[in-house]
Amino acid sequence: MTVLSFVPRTESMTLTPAKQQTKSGSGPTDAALVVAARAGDAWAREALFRRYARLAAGLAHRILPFDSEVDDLVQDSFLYAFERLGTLTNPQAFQSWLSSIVVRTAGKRLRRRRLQVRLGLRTNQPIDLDEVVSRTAPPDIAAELRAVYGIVERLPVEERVALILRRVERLEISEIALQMGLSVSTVKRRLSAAEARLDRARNR
Amino acid sequence: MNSNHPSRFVEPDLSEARVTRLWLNVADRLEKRRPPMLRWLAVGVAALALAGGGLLLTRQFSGFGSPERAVLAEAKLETASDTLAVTLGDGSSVHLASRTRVEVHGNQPSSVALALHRGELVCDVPHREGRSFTVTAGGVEVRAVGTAFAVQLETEQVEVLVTEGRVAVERTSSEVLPASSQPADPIQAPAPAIVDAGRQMVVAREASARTKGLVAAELTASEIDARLAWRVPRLDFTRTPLAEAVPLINRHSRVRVTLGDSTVGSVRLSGILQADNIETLVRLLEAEHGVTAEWRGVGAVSYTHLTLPTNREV
Repeated sequence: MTVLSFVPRTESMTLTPAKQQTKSGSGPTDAALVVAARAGDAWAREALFRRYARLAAGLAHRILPFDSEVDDLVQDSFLYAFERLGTLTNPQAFQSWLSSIVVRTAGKRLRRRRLQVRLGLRTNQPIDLDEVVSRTAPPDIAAELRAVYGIVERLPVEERVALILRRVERLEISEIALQMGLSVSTVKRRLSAAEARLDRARNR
Repeated sequence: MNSNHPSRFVEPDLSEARVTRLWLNVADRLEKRRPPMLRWLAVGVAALALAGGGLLLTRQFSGFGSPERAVLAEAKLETASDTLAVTLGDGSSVHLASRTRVEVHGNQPSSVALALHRGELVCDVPHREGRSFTVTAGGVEVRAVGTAFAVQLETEQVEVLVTEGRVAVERTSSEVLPASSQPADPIQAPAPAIVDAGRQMVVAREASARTKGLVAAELTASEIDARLAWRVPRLDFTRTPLAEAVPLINRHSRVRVTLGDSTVGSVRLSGILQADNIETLVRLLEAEHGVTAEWRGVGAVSYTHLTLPTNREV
């Protein structure tokens, strides 16, 4: 007999068929999805989005830990990526390419926020360390994260992004350079300046 | 990633609903940014797809399940808690149940070969002269000509359920066995066995039973519906006007709902509806909102026309 159910409920939810739109597990490779998305297949774009939405949101949140900014940042990054898929020379490298788009888009948003604060169009919103750093973090990692997020709002944008990619994402300097679109030597200078400020803050 | 990696302790709270909302926004913005010509092309393609969907509703399985996606020549498909519908190179469609793993080999217009490694799939295979369509599962090969059928791989047996046309079933690695617990009045089938619509064949996987023949058993329509109930999607509504909900419901149901006027269209729904469960929905609308339902049967598709009394406030 066919199962019949209609369960009234009041909490808010999305108007989409439940659990229909994702493909999980070892589905098509990134390269296959990129090729299909380039050919105009909407399902391939959706598959790429669902595969990497959490990665993009996590990275965005760590650079700009405000919920409203994260949503905009994820959407803007994927829009940029989908509109420029044709420029991605290695389709299998979608993940790192998307990460670099998130990093650079976050940098632009940070600059815009600072300009808006200077112009009086926005109030400076401090980072709530208790909100950002998980209570489950081991003490040494929690202390490191609290120190980093305690100073990033005072750092220039490039120093802030470089420090987070180094201390939180634990990327190599060459990887940071690729993600930020800067030279290795520039990244070294930005990191050196940021870490000096971090040391001073810790020694206070 | 290391369990003590710092990034693990700075994570956003990202629910599935939030991911879906973000995707819908991205899809909407992508659509708005398309050049006008492409938008019209998309409208045309959507109209053709809807027309095709209307025709397919007369088939037993079609019109249900998630939006179908095209599959590349060689692919591994795997589902977790969700289901997945895909279109193959020969125009056939395949619907994977949850926790199913399938490998697609030779996905061409003239030849499709699927290997079911776990779970269950339903294939809808339009008839095409000279085309070969096979599904292998647990040492059993199912060959289709023009048909709709389901294959379920279990630890001890492979079940083949045919809902349209007929399929040929045979063991590829060893002999097949009848099921240990057959439904009443089983019918002995020759080897390779031909299984007709409305019948189910259960093939034991263990080699010890290889000397016995194949057995097909008849199933009732309600037994077939129950076996394949997983294909029917659930729709979530939150204070959704009936005018918006009805197109979604009609997309998945054999019962077509029509609205008498804009007043009844403004009745709001909240809840989870199994997409083929129109009777319960209509009863709820009648009880909660005073909606009047008029049922009309037209061939394989029935209609229900909903109206509100003229003096009724929503």
